[in-house]
Amino acid sequence: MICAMREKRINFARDFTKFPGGRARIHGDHSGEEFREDVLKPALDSHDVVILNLNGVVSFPASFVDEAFGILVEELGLDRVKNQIQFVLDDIRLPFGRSSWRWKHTRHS
Amino acid sequence: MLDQRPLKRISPDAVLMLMAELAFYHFFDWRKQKLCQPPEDPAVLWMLNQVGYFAYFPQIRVTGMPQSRNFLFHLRDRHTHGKKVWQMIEHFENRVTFQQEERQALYDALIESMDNVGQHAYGRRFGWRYHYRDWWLLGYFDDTNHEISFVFLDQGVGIPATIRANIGDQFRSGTDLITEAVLTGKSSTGGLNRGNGLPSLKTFVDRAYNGTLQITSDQSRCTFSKGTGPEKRTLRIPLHGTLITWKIQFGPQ
Repeated sequence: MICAMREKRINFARDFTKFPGGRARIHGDHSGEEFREDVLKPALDSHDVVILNLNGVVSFPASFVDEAFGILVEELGLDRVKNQIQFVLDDIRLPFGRSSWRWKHTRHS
Repeated sequence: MLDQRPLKRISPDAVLMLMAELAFYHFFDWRKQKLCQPPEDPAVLWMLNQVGYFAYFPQIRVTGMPQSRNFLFHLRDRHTHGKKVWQMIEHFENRVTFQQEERQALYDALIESMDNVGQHAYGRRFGWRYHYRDWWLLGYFDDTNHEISFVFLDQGVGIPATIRANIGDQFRSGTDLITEAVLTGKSSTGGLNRGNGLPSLKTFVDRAYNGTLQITSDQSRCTFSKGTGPEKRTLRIPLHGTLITWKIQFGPQ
């Protein structure tokens, strides 16, 4: 029996916003919490692999990244998040993931 | 009666604080008529007029405003707004050119400042002021010295009080708490995945060619310059809230 991998492609700039906000939903639009709860988590629950294209986004504030990905790691586990999400990002100057990785290592090491 | 006729010069920080204090006063006592004698200096008059200061004084009609080569942009809100921040940065790019890294660091710094207001600045211990949660942002380009300033203000409990209340560090000075929060990312919540906001404020200065970050909160003032250690100062008169100022020098465009 052959099972096809269910794959979901998310273009962050087109499907969510070009201008990410802060941490919590109650403090403003396009927050990390909103992205995690409304976009990323449902995609992870219903697909095997999520390809997240981050090109075209102006920047990723540290609080946004922590809330969107750090909390996701806490909820789902680092291995599942690493296995299920593939990032596409051409602009290597973006400070994406730095804070999230610090969090992960502190939490799981 | 506010007599501002003798004013010869005013900094962007002072404009923002004056505006915020007036709005705060108006918020709680809007019925009371406020009177003002406008400044005679055209540059001061221009700055105050640009931020809408005279809207609080209906009896004053400002006409014949002189042309200025300076540039000013201001925002007031109570939420985190990425798009508004980006629009402000784009406005300034008509006059100065940011490097890509500077632009991103400035965006992150302003978003973190706004988010900190929502999360920490106006705590429940703030009592009757609790429902007043505004922040103020002013960007100013001074054409005479090619200096750009971004000033962010909230009128909350201040950074040292927030850290002390949440993690119980009662023995260290306010300047030490601010310095540690900015340099090492010490969180006021004590959470492992927290404390990323304040270091982001300094990243903009670190990436710029030449600049300073000054944080004033309660009686503590810390100035961070690129390549040197923080300069700490205790103020005689406390500031109610937190005032964050970035100053960046540019060469002639």
